[in-house]
Amino acid sequence: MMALGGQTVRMFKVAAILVAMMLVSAGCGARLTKAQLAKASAGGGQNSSGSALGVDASGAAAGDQAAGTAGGASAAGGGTAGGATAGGQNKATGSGSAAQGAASSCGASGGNADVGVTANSITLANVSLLTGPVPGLFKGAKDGTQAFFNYQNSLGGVCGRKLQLDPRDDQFDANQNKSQYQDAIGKDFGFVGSFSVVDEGGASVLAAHPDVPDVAYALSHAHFNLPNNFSPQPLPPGWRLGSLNYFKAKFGPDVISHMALLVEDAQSAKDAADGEEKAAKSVGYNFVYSRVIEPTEANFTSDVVAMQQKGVKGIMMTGEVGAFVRVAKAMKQQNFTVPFANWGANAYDPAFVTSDAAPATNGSIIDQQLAMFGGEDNLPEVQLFNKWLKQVGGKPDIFAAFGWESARLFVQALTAAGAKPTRASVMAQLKQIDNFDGNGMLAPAGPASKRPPNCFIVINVQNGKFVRADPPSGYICNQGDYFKA
Amino acid sequence: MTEFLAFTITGIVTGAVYAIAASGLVVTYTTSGIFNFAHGAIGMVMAFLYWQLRVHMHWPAPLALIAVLFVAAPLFGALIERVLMRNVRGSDTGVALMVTLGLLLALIGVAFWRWKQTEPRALPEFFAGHSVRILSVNLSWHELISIGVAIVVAIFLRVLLYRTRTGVAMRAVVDDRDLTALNGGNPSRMSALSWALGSMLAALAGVLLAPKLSLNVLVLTFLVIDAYAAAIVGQLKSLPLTFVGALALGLGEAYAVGYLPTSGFLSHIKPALPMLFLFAVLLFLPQVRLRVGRVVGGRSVRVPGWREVGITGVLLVGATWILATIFTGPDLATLGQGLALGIIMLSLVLLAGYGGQTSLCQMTFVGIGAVVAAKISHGSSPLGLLAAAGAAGAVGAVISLPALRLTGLYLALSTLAFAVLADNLFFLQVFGGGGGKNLHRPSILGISFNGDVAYTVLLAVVFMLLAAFVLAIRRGPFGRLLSAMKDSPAACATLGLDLTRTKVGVFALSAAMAGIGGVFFGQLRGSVGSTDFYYVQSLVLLLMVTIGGIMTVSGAFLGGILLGPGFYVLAKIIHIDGLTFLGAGLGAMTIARSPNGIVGQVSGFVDRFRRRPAAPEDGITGVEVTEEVERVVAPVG
Repeated sequence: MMALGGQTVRMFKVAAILVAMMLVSAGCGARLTKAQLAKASAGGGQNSSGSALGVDASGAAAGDQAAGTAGGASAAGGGTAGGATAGGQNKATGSGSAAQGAASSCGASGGNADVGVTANSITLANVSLLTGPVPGLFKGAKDGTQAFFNYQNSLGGVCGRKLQLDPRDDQFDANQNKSQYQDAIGKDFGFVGSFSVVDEGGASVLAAHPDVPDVAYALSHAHFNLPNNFSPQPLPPGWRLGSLNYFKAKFGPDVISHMALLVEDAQSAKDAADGEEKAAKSVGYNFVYSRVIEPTEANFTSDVVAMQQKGVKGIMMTGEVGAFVRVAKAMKQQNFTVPFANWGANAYDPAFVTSDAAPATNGSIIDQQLAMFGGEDNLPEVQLFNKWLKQVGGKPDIFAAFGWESARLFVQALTAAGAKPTRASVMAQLKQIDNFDGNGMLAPAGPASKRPPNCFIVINVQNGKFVRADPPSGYICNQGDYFKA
Repeated sequence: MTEFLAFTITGIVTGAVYAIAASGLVVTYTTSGIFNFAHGAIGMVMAFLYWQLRVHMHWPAPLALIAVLFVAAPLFGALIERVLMRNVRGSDTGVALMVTLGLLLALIGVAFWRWKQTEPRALPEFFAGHSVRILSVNLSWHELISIGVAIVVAIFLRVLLYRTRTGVAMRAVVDDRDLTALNGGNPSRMSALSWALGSMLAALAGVLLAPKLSLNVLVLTFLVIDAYAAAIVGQLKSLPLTFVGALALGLGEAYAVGYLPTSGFLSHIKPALPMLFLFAVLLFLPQVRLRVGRVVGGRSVRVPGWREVGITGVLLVGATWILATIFTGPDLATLGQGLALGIIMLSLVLLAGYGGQTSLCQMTFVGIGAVVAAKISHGSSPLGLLAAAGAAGAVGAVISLPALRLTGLYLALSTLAFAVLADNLFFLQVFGGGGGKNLHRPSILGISFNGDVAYTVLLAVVFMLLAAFVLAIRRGPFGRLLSAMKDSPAACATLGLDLTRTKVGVFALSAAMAGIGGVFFGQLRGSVGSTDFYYVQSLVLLLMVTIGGIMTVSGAFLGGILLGPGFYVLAKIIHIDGLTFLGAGLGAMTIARSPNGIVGQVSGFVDRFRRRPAAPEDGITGVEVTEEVERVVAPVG
């Protein structure tokens, strides 16, 4: 409701909250070339992001991974455009200093090179939805960005300049979003880690200022398509065929020809489901039951009965985690089990495995293009992320993960831009980074070419816990391309 | 057949949930004469309180239930009656509606502040894991308990209200407080008891529903809106019919899942079913009789003269221009937002302030205007503005048709149903496929208003022009007709005035103004999307203009400024979750003491300062007696 007057006015439609979540969960596969796939899969097809992916990442990742192993370091060290392997050289320090890596490409620190840059600091804006329908839901975007900045500053910043965040709240109002971008453009160097369901407002401002770098997960098409938007994991409309092929091979034709699809009633969820359904059908899936459900629906017994009658053997769903749990509980109550219960990436959420939900959600399958950033994966990047996020009072959700990785991507370009960074020079560096995996926390994607990831991991729910099912480490990358919706 | 039986059983379970929620609404209305929009919010807060005791503090379930259902809920209900509802007594439907709406927002604010929504919470079902198989369907014990509770509640309420002195006294208070007191009753105590009982039932519904849904503030609060349809089947007084309505609704939803196609237009029927049901029931309600022989009409606020309007207009535009050149970025955008909202609120001054017709779908008209304008040269041409006004006005005229038969609360609910239906069946289709509709800012006489400063000043000019238009109507024959219709429809009918034409006219005119407001609202933002016109926004719009003063154009201005820049500034000063809900809610509660809003209070103060009696401009000062009282008089049963 809170569109009306800013803070209060726009919040009520619960479905609106889901918009962002759906788009995130819509995260799909990628269109890597065969050569890229080969590189990404080097070492055995289902590679570990820590090794082959790192090396593949245009030199950056070698440094990244090495630094990560050393306890940290980072984007700057991973600089594709500059600094290249510097990060790796920091391994010995244990702190993996990105700043040191950066310094090697910095030379003497300059003065006020561009807007928001002083001799000692660089200020960057983050425009996120902070006081929306569920206050604090997207706070992770800001927290993740701030956490990475703090981490980077602890290493000396970039070329001696501390990174400062200028957090802004669009209050779930497209006009406020636009105004915040407009205002920040005159004060801040660029934008990092922003996350909002009304980002089309700011997109119009960024379109008018193509020289201003914007590193963020874009939700609207208008924002996504901007030449100056660089997402650490670009996700255009469509769906990854890799996971669909993977499950097709795993469960067989009988299961995939008796599928159900439940979609929560939010436009973005329906868009995502549309892409998923078309992609699935293109590889032989058949849906015998589908329905759009309301956010306030409590009783899914009718759906379960209908699914039983129609011989459903697999289920897919797009929506928010609460609805997943309700459907799973209804299935459990009717003793209706299917071999293939695949929930979207939104199910990777503590709410899916609470003591109340776990009896119904045990055995569920989740596929996603991020590592298990909640801490289950023993990746240095995941540990680093959780450690620094905790220090800013944040929680490891998907928004924080994107905030963190957006900041890492930006810092990588900033470092490569040298001692006197300008918007133009940072943009030029960003345009060269077309293989980014956030030190393994993300499936590799191409920020410069807006190439989506096509690698994924499979997670199972066992005894109320998320357990990595496949692969043991890294990602599955060679199962299929990306279906364009 | 097995499938049909399974759907039937599922429908009965859903119907039982609706029945519990609806019976609470009916009891509150029957025993207090007030339709409690905050019923769901009370249930939500009590569900969270139960979670706090049961899960967070590990109290045994029986103890937590007793604490919530028999201590916290009744005390809270009695407190509401004492602090809020006692002041609403004798006010018209709109005031009571706004106060309960304010309570709803305040409770949401409290819940957001107290229970962070980003933390996962789960409330286990009663006897989780146990179920019984009935005709091929496993019913959980929790569901069986819900059905059992619905039946027990029905019997208990029937006995209480008809077989006990207390129940009879509770109903008697609504019929005639003075007469009840003369017969030895204690009206205040009975009212408090009524609210305590209503609050208990809300808590019961919340505790039973929460385990089936997420512990989500908004979901739990607004789920009860679906139960309105069931309550209206019983015309808010008959519990048996309410239960029949709840059952029909539950079964309808279950069969819709089972038998309606899952794609195409019919696939949208299921989510819209409760509101379709509500709309249909309202259409078949018997026509309201016009009340005669009673003194009606609220205290009016002085209508300014043209000279005052001119001076104020120049000052407003001048001040806006100065502020627009000082402010930048978000501050300037917020100022524009306030003015755009003020323009929209002017349409409510005409309809609800002057005409006494409650509309809970004004943002729907705003949306229609914006969408139509966007279709025609992206809203930047005069033709787009005219088309927006025409389309919204035409829809407003059609929507006014139920208003010919309905008044007060029923009229409000019918417009609410229309707004929800428009959300589900129109806006989602129009904006389908993602993204919004773009609206461009205009150039007028070669002057471009693309810049933020210029456009903000343009909004101020438009506001003043429309305000002058509204005041011109107020001063003219149509305005006097509206005022007379608001004061006494019966007197108007007796004098041979055409109420039908007046109602249709004011609805159409108000909707057209809202449509125009939609164009400016969209141009300011650059684009509009389906969530911009979500039905709850209409409630907030009405709430804020009422806080400002719905009888005056100044009130519309103030409402817009409060809703835009007001909350914006507040959020910068105090940083707690849900603050703006809390602020809006608490502000709305002041309506109980000051139905004419802030402008009315200021006007009264100025009048006292000038030692001039604040006499009503026209109409008679007194208490409005709403037709609902007639309905309440009818026995429950």
